[in-house]
Amino acid sequence: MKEIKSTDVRKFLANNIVPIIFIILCAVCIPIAGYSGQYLVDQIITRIVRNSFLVLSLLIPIMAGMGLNFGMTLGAMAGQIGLIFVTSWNVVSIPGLLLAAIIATPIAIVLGCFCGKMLNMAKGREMITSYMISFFMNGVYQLVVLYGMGSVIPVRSGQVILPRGYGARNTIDLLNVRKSIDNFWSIRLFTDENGMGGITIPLLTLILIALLCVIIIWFRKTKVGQDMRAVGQDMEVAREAGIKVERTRILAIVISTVFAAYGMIIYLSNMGTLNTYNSHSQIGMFSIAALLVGGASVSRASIKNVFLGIILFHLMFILTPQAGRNLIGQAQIGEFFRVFVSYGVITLSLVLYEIRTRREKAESAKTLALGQKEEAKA
Amino acid sequence: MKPAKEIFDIRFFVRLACIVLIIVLAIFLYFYGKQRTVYIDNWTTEIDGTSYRAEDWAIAQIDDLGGEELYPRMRIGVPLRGRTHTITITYDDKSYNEIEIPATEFRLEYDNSLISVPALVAGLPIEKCISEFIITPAPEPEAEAAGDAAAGDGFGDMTMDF
Repeated sequence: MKEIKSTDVRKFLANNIVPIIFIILCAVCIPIAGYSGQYLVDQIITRIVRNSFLVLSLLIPIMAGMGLNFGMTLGAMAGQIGLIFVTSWNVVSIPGLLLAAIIATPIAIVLGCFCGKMLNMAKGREMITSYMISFFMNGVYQLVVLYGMGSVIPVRSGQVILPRGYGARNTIDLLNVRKSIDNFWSIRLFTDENGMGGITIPLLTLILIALLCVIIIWFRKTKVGQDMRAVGQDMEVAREAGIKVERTRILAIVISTVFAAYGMIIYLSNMGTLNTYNSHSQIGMFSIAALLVGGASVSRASIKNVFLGIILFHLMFILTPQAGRNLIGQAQIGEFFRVFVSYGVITLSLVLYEIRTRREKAESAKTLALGQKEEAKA
Repeated sequence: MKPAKEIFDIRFFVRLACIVLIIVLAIFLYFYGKQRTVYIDNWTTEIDGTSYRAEDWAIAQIDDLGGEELYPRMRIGVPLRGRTHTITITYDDKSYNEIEIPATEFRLEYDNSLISVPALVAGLPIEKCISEFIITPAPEPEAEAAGDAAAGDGFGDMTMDF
């Protein structure tokens, strides 16, 4: 009995090592940083609202056994293109965001199809392939935005186009759509006598995120969702069962890319500024790191992992600079710390996944050999 | 090759209807959400060779957005959605009698338009009082103009805020 318990504890630790490390780090950093609980909760809610859609977009490819979709950057690019047009046309508020989403959807579908087809050609190496595709598409995006906009693509607004007449500005102000969804329906709790401070809860954005969670849960139960799970478990068995494996995998990437485009629109509208040439490039890495921090792995991820990951990852983001400043007098130390922790967590998760897969393979081989030996004896 | 009957089945038409619906929605959103800025201008201006002196004091109200006080050499930008709006001007004549010009309807043709209050007070038709207002964009820093950020190797850079 005791042995079973210690094995269970070991298994639990092995499965949740990343969130446990982050919980310990956050617990250490909270008193050092010295932020009030109210401030931390407000910041965490802001970041949940900002990033959930993006991180949730990663779940479907994992379900289809395609690992972490670094190609979500493609969706982010589509979202940015939508926002560039909307800013150029000066379409404001929620209509602006909806129009950006409508513009981004076909672009995301095309890019998702392209990415899915490429990943089908590189089965078993999806993550590195999607990472490389995002580098490649980043170049194409920059070519289009830097040289195509204003010269070939009719974008005329001075807010978007550089004074030379073509190419988008490095930074585009999204004041026209800034926090449109968040401010449409939000409540403020625990404000002081002057109505200052407190915690802002943007209800409409939270409803949208909840809706996406419901859609993902529902989608898992549909025929296509079941097909994706079957493909994720074993492609050959799924093919034998009559499932169109390649088509299902492309569909998973397309859905993820489209959700990433919407996520990017929500993210940027919350930030209020579009860093034309850089915003999308960090998104994939950040979202994946957040998901892994929540205890997800390359082959398994759930909605629970998304939210736990965002909370822990962003708690680190908020705490470490201040903790670094209070501890050594330099906020930069905290910045460096969070950077290496972020990259480290991705590496650790990938290594742990590989170790676990190898161990499982070895165990199943051992069981098979034992069974064969017993069969031979009989 | 599939026969035409199989291609143009009910699913095809449902998909087509969805696409058309989305395009219609996009057009609606464009016109509904498009914002134009009108600048109410109280500067001395010249229209068709005639000079109109800035008003010493006036109140301008667009639609029912509330009045804005104007003094000489003042220009106020009002962001508006939709094309057709009204402007009401209240000003003091030489004997300091408050005179109100009743609501005048105008149509915005440009993203940024300028309405000259002195011209409107002088009784010019509204079409003569409105002109396009061209804003000179702030020049970009040299490095930015050259698109340096695009050439950077910041892919996956985690030092920025998320």
